[in-house]
Amino acid sequence: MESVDNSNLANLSNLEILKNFELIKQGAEAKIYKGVYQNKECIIKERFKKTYRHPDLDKAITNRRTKMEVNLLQKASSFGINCPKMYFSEKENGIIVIEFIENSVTCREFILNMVKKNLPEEELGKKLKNLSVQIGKIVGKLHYNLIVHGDLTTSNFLIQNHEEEDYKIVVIDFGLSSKTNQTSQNEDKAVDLYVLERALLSTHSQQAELIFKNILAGYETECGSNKKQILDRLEVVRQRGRKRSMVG
Amino acid sequence: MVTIIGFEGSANKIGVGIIRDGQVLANPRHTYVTPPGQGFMPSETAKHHKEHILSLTKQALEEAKITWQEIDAIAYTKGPGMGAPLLTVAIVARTLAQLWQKPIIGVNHCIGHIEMGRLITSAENPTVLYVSGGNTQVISYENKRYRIFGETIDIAVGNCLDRFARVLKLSNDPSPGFNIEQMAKNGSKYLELPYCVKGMDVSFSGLLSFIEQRGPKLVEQKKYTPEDLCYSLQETVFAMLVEITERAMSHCNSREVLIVGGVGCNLRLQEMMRKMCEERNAILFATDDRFCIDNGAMIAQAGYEMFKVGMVTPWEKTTITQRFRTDQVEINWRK
Repeated sequence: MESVDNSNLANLSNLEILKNFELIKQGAEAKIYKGVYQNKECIIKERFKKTYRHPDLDKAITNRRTKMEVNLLQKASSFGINCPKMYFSEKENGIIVIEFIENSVTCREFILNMVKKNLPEEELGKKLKNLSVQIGKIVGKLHYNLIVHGDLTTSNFLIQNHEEEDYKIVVIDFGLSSKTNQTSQNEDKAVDLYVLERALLSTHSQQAELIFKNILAGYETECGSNKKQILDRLEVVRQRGRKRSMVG
Repeated sequence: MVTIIGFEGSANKIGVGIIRDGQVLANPRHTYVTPPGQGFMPSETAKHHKEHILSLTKQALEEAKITWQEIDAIAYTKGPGMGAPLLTVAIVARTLAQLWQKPIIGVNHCIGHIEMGRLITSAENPTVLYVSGGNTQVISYENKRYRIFGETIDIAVGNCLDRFARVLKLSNDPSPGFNIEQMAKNGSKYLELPYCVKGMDVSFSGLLSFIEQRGPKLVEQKKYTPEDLCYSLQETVFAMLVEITERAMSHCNSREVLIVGGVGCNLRLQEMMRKMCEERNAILFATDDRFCIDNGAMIAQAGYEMFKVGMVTPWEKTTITQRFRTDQVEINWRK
């Protein structure tokens, strides 16, 4: 068991309901522990204090993100999107306790392993396509419900029962999520897609194009009627302020 | 022994540097400083570079105590940057290459910054934060490319600082960013500004319009001093930069950070980044204004690496390009 001396977890008022928690990852934003909550395996996410930033800013960011995460995880779940169940939260301490997704790997590892297997190109393409379309549908559903994830990468999709053909995809980490509105939705959604495209290019550079193309195909079926506006906007976002390649 | 002369002039600095096997023999530079409240325009900047490039070249050779015969190749900035200034420098580099009968190498400006940072700090495989007036990128080396993990989706952080300096009519001497940094030291009242991180990307344009519109009013109403605003602006934009750098480090399992580019010599940014690194058990590498700010030696150093693996630019390709992404160049000199 990890020492919790420096952690708000030690002060957690409901500590008795959490058992045997251990640190499994220190991300950029939070410490992730695995524990047991009311006899169920759970994940505890604690946004720790960032000493490099101004205390007011740190507090504002932690509060806002924790609040949003709690709120939007529950919303997404109510719209039938696969994501971890919310068990418990202490917003003022930046702590949330959520469902542990059993028998899962990140989509990032899943793809990297798939590529490593040296499958025939056609088979790999088919598998990637199937996966990408499903991811696209999840993103489309989130967007249809005006939820912008804010950190779409292949690390933030979990593949449950990954050994089987009919695995289940679970979207996680709503830490940078926000609710969009009628006026800014096309821009917000386009940026969300753009962040995903960029993440694919840096993490799966060889397969990025194929994956993103199929993500968009799945996305279009679920994102609602303004898909054209969103995709047009994506083109604008791609061009904006970036040092795009150009023949000199 | 390989000796390279490098020419840089993609923005408002013109610099000529000479590198010999990892040693900076000379690195003189001249900056085009505009009046307060004004940015630099391409044609005037090009004119400035034209006026100084030949005397700087002579000065560099004298300081290095070498003759042109000892130079093995000429490196120049191919891009990205402003068209007219780039062109001025490219013409001089091409002329000298013909006159001296030397190979010529077109260098990506961003890669110049990274290679110079690596040379000076001896960082092995760092996550690189490249921050300047024209660029904001988080870069990591992988499989023969400097891959861009995060970047600005609109304006560069240096541009955001420069434009706010214009609102406050701060001097552009030595640079608007330096003067914001000095003002910020005397600020204490923190104003919460829009904070915009999307995955590993950042956006500054919303924040800039917010502070451009509200800033002058808040000063007029005596609610905040200009120093407070500079302080708040720095605290906010730097926190965003440190956050995306940390995200990229966590993503790539990196234990080193290297800050390059003009904004990289800001000591507050370095201090914040160092704190983040300490929390993660990582090491920060940073350089000072001699190498952070655009200079000729950085182009010479990237040219040096390229020359050693035979990446010489064919004559008909010694052009310039205003847009030239960091991840376009194959990094044949690294494993």
